[in-house]
Amino acid sequence: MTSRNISPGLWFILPTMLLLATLIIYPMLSTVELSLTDSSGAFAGMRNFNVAISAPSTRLILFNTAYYVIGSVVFQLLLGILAGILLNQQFAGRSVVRSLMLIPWVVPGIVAAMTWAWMFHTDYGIINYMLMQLGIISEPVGWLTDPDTVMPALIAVNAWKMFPFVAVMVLAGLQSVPDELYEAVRVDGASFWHEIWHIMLPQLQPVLVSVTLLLTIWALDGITIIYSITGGGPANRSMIFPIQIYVQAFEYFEFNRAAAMAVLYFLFIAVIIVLYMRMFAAQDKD
Amino acid sequence: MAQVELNKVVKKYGAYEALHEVDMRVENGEFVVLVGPSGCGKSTLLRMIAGLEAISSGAISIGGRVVNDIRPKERDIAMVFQSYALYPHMTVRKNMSFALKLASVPQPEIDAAVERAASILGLGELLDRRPKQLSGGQRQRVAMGRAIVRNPQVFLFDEPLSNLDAKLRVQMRAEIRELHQRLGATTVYVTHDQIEAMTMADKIVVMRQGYIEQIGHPLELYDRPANLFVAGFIGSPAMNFIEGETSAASPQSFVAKDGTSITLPAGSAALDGRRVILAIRPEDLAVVGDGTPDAFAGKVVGVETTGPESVILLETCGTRVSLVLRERASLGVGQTVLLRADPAKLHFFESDDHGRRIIM
Ligand SMILES: Nc1ncnc2c1ncn2[C@@H]1O[C@H](COP(=O)(O)OP(=O)(O)OP(=O)(O)O)[C@@H](O)[C@H]1O
Ligand SMILES: [Mg+2]
Repeated sequence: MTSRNISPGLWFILPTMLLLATLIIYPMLSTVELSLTDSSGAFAGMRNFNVAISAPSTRLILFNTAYYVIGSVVFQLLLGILAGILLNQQFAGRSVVRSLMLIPWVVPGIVAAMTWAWMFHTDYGIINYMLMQLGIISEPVGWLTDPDTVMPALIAVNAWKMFPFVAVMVLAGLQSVPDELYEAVRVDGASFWHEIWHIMLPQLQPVLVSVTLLLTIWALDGITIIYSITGGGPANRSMIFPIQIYVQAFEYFEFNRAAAMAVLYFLFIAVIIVLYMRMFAAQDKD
Repeated sequence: MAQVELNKVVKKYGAYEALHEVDMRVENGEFVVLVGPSGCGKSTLLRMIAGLEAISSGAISIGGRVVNDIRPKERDIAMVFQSYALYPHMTVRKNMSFALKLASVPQPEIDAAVERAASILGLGELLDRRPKQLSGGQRQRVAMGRAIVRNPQVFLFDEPLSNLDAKLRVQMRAEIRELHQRLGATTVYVTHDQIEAMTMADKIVVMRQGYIEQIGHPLELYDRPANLFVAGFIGSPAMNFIEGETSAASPQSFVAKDGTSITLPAGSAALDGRRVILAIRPEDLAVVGDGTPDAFAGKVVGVETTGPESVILLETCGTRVSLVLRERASLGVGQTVLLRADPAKLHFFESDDHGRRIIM
């Protein structure tokens, strides 16, 4: 094959491909190499993987990760869709509300996390203060220290942080729905609830499929909120996989073990995403 | 089945008044066509009947019941939209049964209604397809099917054929007519195409800038347009208008701006010495031979042939007129010919802003 026969498109994507190769493929290969060696660089076979898998905390961490991801995505979607639909209706001050809604999303993650950490504080937090004032609880709840409330609290923060993104996407999706469709369904006898169920949601489906994928990926590698609020505690009750990898690597300097966990996590995410894409592609053809 | 009545209906968008005190009546089972140029308020009027637009003042009643504050779904109407507005994620069958489902009609009844509508419209094969998998004409039919299934009191159509090609449009025109004869449902049909209006309507309502200009049977509008606007709007090619003055002398004649004189029929006393606009349809003008009485000269500036007939564009009487010949024209551009207007087919209009018809 001479250079003439090579599709010109290839030349266009070549620079990008090279950049990707250096920034992504090399580190990936290097991680795989790390995972298969010990700290002196000697080949270690599957030892790092065995240690990572058999660690007593692995089960809890996997469970926490799934809990965090599913909880976050579900509430981000629910809140986001609700907000998007409401903000698509006509009402006075709509554009102001639309802009205000974006605040959680544009606030830097670390700032949001620290603010929420203070709000959740057992003794000085405004949440306990308000709940006590209203008489809903009689003594302070240790939101971030109680093993039963720490994950829901973190999920709430994550949902709050990302729902505006969903709302914006939903809003954009709804604006491309022709008015005549709403009118047709109204003439056919639909209530507002029917409009949501039979027109808006089906029309939003392609948007929601992509958004769900993005939210899942972001939740899967969402370190900022949990790491800065609880650091994975108490007693690993809010520890999720990416933080565990980080802690292993940069706090315990167990780079080889961290690399093995990273490879496992990569495979885990890859399986989820491939399954998801399969489902999505199947629906699309339908 | 029901009649629709509009009583001094006004529509305001903010300060802008889109409809001015419109009065109109659609009888039980009648097929009424609203026609007029773009932006005249046809869709607005139709959407007010449907309940999709609020009524600023006046009253609309359907079947004797004032529906001003009644929601679309309780008005017992069905509407066919210009874009069809089929539900994209539902099959044809689901599209057609949707309204009945919302109304909690029992499933066997829904199935029967859908089957019936599908057989009327020839949709049997397509019931399990999605709108995306249909041609424009098929979508149009599904949109009508969705309306028929509900067996509503009133059918509303908003330019349902404007997205179809010319041939299909002619075919669907006939089908909609046929459907109407079969179902006998009261129908209000919006179009900006006067040929559609002429061929389909029991009664035409001509609108302009939020006013109704004339209401009547298609041929009534054709033969006796109430004003210059209706005269120019109905009929294709459009009616010819010639400005000029009538003389009081006997026999009476009309003198165009350029001095061309056209003899008027006896008994045109109402026209004595006034500035008027003379109007004549292109098919009521004829090319005549030398020596024909009352003929006047015109210069050919264009010839358009459609096959069975030719449209000749001429310069005469200080303006351009067109003339329809029911034969192949052997006239060439630049040629001067003699014309004669059928005296019984002359129309006269005031030469003011309203351009009202002068009744003789
Ligand atoms: N939502 C609206 N807000 C303000 N003005 C409007 C609105 N809808 C329509 N109008 C105005 O009302 C007038 C009538 O509009 P309408 O849609 O009824 O016209 P139409 O006769 O259906 O025209 P077309 O043949 O182009 O569909 C137009 O001048 C239009 O600009
Ligand atoms: Mg319109």
